[in-house]
Amino acid sequence: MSTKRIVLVTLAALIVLIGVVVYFNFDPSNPTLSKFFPKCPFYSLLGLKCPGCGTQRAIHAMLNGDLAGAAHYNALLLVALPLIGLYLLADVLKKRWPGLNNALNHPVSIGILLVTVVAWLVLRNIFGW
Amino acid sequence: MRQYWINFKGKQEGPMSIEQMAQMGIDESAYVWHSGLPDWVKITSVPELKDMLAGLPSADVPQATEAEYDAQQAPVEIEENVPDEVPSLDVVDNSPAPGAPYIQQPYAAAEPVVAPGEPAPECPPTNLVWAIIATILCCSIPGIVGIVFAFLTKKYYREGDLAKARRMSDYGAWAVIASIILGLISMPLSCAVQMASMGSSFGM
Repeated sequence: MSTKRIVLVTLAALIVLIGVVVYFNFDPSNPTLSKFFPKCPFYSLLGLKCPGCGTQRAIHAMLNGDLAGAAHYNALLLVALPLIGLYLLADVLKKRWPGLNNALNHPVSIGILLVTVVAWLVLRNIFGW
Repeated sequence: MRQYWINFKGKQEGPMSIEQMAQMGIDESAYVWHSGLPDWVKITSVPELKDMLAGLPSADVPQATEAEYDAQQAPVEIEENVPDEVPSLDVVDNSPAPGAPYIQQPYAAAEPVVAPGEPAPECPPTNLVWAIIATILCCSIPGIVGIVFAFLTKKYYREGDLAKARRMSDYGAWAVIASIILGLISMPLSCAVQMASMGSSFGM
């Protein structure tokens, strides 16, 4: 690992750690606390939920072991988090498992991802998910 | 494995491995370039290629069958725009060299022009993970645009259009950066607005 990579990984780990501590202890859906949490600009401007809306509340619920609550706030996050982990793992191990990395980065895989996110954007605004 | 581009008798081929080059029936008059070299060099000035040439029988060059060539030939990238700094290849002697038979390559129809100084044609980064993270954690809309560009990067790369793939890769990186910047601007802004107005909770 190069020095640059070590610095980046350490920085990322630190940000994730701070995020975990903050979102574990503070509930963004708590009315008195909610003003300290950033709001979605997309929702503020258009009144429509974006694919990432509810992520903060979902992370808080997830960190406190409430998976059903997390799915209620943002179901896509429950799918996206393991997927992000898988992509990062495949990137790190692409020398050892080139097949996994190629499959994940195949145009068909990316296309499925894209359709899923856009479908989620449309459906959650129709059904209020 | 290192990939080489070769200019032999005015014809440019590549990328290819040493093994593929050994089957082309080249001689010392060839010029080569690989990633890391500033310019084309004589094949004899690259130690491993000089050794490869020395190991070849001078009169009877092993000739691969068409099927073998198809199997060995790496995907050929065609550079759309050739930069101005392509070194002149006038120095290459085009007269047929005696001794070394010239093999008609079955794949000679697709002639790539790769500018020296360009990196070996690997797929440009798709920035896909960052686009996904940006979509779910930052600012969704530029994040989705980033996923679209990740898709286009892979699509053009697989079609062999490396120049377009690189451009899409750059656009994708900018989409992710735009998402992060918008997120960084809007987050403190939205907190400030809420604290000022003590507004009710909405959005994220």
